[in-house]
Amino acid sequence: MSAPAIVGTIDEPPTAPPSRRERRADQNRSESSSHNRGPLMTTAGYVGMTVALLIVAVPLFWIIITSFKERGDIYVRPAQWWPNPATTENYHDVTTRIPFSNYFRNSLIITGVTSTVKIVLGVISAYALSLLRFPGRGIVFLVVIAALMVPNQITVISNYALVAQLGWRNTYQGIIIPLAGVAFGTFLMRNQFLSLPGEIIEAARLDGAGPLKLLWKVVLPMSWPTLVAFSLITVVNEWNEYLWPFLMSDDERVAPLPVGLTQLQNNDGVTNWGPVMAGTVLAMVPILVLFLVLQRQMIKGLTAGALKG
Amino acid sequence: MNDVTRRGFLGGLAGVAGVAGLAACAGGSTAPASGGGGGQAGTAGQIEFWSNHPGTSKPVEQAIIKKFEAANTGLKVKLVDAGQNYEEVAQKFNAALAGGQLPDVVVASDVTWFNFALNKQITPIDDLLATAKVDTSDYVDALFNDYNFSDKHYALPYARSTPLFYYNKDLWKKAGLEDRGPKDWDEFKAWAPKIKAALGNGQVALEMADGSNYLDWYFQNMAWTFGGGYSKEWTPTFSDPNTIKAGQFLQGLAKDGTVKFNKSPEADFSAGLAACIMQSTGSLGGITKDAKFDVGTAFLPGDGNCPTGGAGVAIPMNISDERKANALKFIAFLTNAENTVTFTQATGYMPVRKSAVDLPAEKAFLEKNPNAKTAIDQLAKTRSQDNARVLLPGGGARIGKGLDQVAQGQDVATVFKGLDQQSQQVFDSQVKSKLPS
Amino acid sequence: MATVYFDEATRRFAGHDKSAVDSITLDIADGEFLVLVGPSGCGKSTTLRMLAGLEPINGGRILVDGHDQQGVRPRDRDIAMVFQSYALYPNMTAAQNMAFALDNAKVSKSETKSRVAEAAKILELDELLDRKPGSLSGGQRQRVAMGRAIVRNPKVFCMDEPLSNLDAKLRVSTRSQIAGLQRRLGITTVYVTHDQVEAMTMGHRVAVLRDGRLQQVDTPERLYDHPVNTFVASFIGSPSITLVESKVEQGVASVHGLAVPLQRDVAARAGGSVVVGFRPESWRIVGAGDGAGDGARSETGVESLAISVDLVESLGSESFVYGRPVGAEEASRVTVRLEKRTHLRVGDVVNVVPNQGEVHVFDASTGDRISD
Repeated sequence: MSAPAIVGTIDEPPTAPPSRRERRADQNRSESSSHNRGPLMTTAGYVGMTVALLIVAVPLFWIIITSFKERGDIYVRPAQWWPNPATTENYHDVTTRIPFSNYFRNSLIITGVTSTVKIVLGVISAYALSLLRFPGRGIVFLVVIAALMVPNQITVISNYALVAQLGWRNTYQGIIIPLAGVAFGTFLMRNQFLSLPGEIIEAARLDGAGPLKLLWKVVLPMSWPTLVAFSLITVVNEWNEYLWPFLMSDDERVAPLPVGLTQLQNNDGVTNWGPVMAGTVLAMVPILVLFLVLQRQMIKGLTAGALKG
Repeated sequence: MNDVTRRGFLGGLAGVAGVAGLAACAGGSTAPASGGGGGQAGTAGQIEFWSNHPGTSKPVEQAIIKKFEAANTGLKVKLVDAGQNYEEVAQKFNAALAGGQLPDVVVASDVTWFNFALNKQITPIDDLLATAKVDTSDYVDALFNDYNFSDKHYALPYARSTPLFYYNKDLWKKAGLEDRGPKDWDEFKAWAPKIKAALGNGQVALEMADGSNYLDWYFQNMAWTFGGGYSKEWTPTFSDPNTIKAGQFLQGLAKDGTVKFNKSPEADFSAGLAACIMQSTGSLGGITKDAKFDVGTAFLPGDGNCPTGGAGVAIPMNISDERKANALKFIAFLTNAENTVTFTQATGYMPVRKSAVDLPAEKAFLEKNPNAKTAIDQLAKTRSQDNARVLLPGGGARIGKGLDQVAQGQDVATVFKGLDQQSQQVFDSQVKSKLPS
Repeated sequence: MATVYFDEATRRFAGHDKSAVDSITLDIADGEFLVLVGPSGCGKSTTLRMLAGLEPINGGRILVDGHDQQGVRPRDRDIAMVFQSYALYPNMTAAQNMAFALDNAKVSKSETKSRVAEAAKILELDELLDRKPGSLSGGQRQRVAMGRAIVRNPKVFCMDEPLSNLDAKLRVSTRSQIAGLQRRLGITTVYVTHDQVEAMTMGHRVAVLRDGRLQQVDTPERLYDHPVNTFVASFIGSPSITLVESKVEQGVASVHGLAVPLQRDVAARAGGSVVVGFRPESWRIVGAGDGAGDGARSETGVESLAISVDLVESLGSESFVYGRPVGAEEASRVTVRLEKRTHLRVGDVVNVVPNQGEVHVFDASTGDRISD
């Protein structure tokens, strides 16, 4: 092919946007100039940040050190700010006094399946309600919103009746299926999809993308941050879900961690808080890991290419 | 299929009605007892036991169940984790009442059982006891009669407790007091300055649970000691001058800093921060383990004015007679002399059988644990609780809230008058019509 | 490659009485570059989107290669579109953006690769194929958007103001690139713009729209020389035409007193008053003693128009002088184009006369053209 002369070579030099580090440096510079309010304000700012940090961190810190304390050291005055002597007895206790690994496995299964179903359902229903045209779309959306308005406590009992009829009490499906309703996800993702630039969707349609390809290759990649946030909220919610699994489960065969950990508390007497704290710490770890992994993804999504310059 | 979905739907509707009750008070339901259609289901020969394992008693319960199954071939007991406290068991039971699949045996506390009885959701057991030839006279009378409602009994006492007066022997010595509890509240008041003088920085003479943590249970003792009470039968008596006097006494202790209110007094006591507390016998084991000083126990001040508490085991109404008979066989076994000893030694609750104390195992135990003996000796001096607290829906919470107001310095007469009115109103609207005339 | 035929195509938006696009009939030849131009809100973008299948048609039809497009899905129309915002897929590289449509059409990997490479070469995107839109400049993105359309080798290109997000200089160069590219590829192209300069420089023919109605479709030259009404006359041409409403007496129009004799057949069609239009280059300056003599009067009025200059734009190769007739300061401005530079200053008074035969005459009430 001969290089066409018609197509000019005039173009502005390819000015790549400044790298992230440069941008950050810019921000810092502008911040330092605009925040140049003297040492008093700076000090106040740091004090404020420290207070906020303490409010968040101290209870967490307390949970962790308590989990390493001996029973007699938990209630002492003055308070012990470092376990002395430190012991892993509480962790041993958690894993032996209650069937911790069973509860943990159940939590993983229930949270994994429920979250996956919720996310998939939420995304595809939101997709249908935002980007596909079909008769009665508005009504369907109204019904979904109405479902969002019904308090959890109302549905619990009717769900209980239904699941009990099916003979699903104390089974995974009995816990998972009623939890998999997704009004919130539908609502959130629909609004996200509606906020996408319409021209890109149209471009993809003109480019011959079918509905699934449009969703998978175009719509979802652009909705990554929202999807990750939604997923994270869903997973954390499912992980901490108490009422329904408690009503449905009878023993450690299907009961998840939040239900199982209550076995450590003494309802009519003195609770030994050491193992409770140890159990809490162990229950936090998977969510913490997931958060750290997804958080990186979330930032990646946020900085991905914008529409135009 | 069609039938199943229709019934499921109806059950759901009934459930919605039941939820209103759930939301209003965790302990009771206003739903009709006929809520769940599926309640009759259940495996033949399997007894489903819904327990919150009071006092972290799951291993003990399992051991007793094993013995039961060995003694009764053909019967199996399925132990279900039904919640972390009595309110959650009640909630789960309520869900089952509305949604179906009832258990055979359910743990019901002193404040939750009556609502179930009133709404015909748990069965009266007198006939069943007679058929099974269970000697009910061996049950500690006060405990057994706690479940008496219009001449029928609705549960057997199981995990029963009473408050106990705990004191820090080291501090007592320092204050120059005799090694015993106060005879009555006047004596305590006389002791208070000495105790206070012995206190160090950050310590307090007496700690009591606050209104959301059963202050209403402990205060009952104070009210009775002053000659008052919460109610006589169904008539509230908060405005009785003696009850008001008790309230003013509590307020006085709070005003001069003798008493402090706390979410968990047992924690502060174990840490040496409170010279004495009133606390359930169920905490005895924990406190003994946690405290780094010599723990003393005594009867509550005021002779014969100790309220009872804790939970019993009940049988749902809407299950087959065969299941009821099996269930009764199990709860009678669970609370027989031998097993009540096993259970109470592991948890700190009270033996519910009179003959229990004569068993060698119990004798040896009490010898080694004089503090546990205090609790058992006190059993003879217990008194059944007032209806306004345990039988009126929401009673405990209502009184607790009023007592919180008193502790904060509001006028006792006004607060108690309000309690009178509220209690009367609840009785009129929720209980009166259901009582047999 | 295809012909496009709009047959009284109409689009009404729900809740509006007026049609956004009102019975447009337009015959576009195979390989033609047709520009839709008009002020914003005139319905030009809607017309384009109707062709692409992104807007439904409420009346009439649109034929592509003689086939009615009613009910044909956008993805089945084989029409490629370049959007104003470029609408690039932000998560894909430039190469993936271009390959997306081919991928959807199940074109083989090797074929796709060669077509993308070819388009990249034409558009000089070779070095940028692995970049994502976020790290491309505006002009580069515009070229990726073009590339995405080119690789498909579609029946029709639709372009919706593809240059409006570029800076002025880049816009001029890209303008010629697109026109050249279209000529080379020979693909029927419908191009929407609100910029009449783009319209005049790029299109084989230009269709002028106003309020959803087609005003005139013609070559750029015809549009300029023979606008069918005052709207087209004033929309096309920069600086715009000077339009003066004038009384006609005995076949002579009086423009601020300047006598402009009308041709006989024109005068016959004119009523008592007409709108007379003068392009800036249709004037020439006459000295005070030149031409018709100083202030010489004919029977109907003066033979040159004295204007008082109130703005001079000097562009180097040419200058534009704006002024108002002396003694008629409330009247509309008169624009005069001068070769090269001028010594005229604001406040000067200059005499101008119109060139013979370059005067446009329109009906005063309808705005329609009367002169040939």
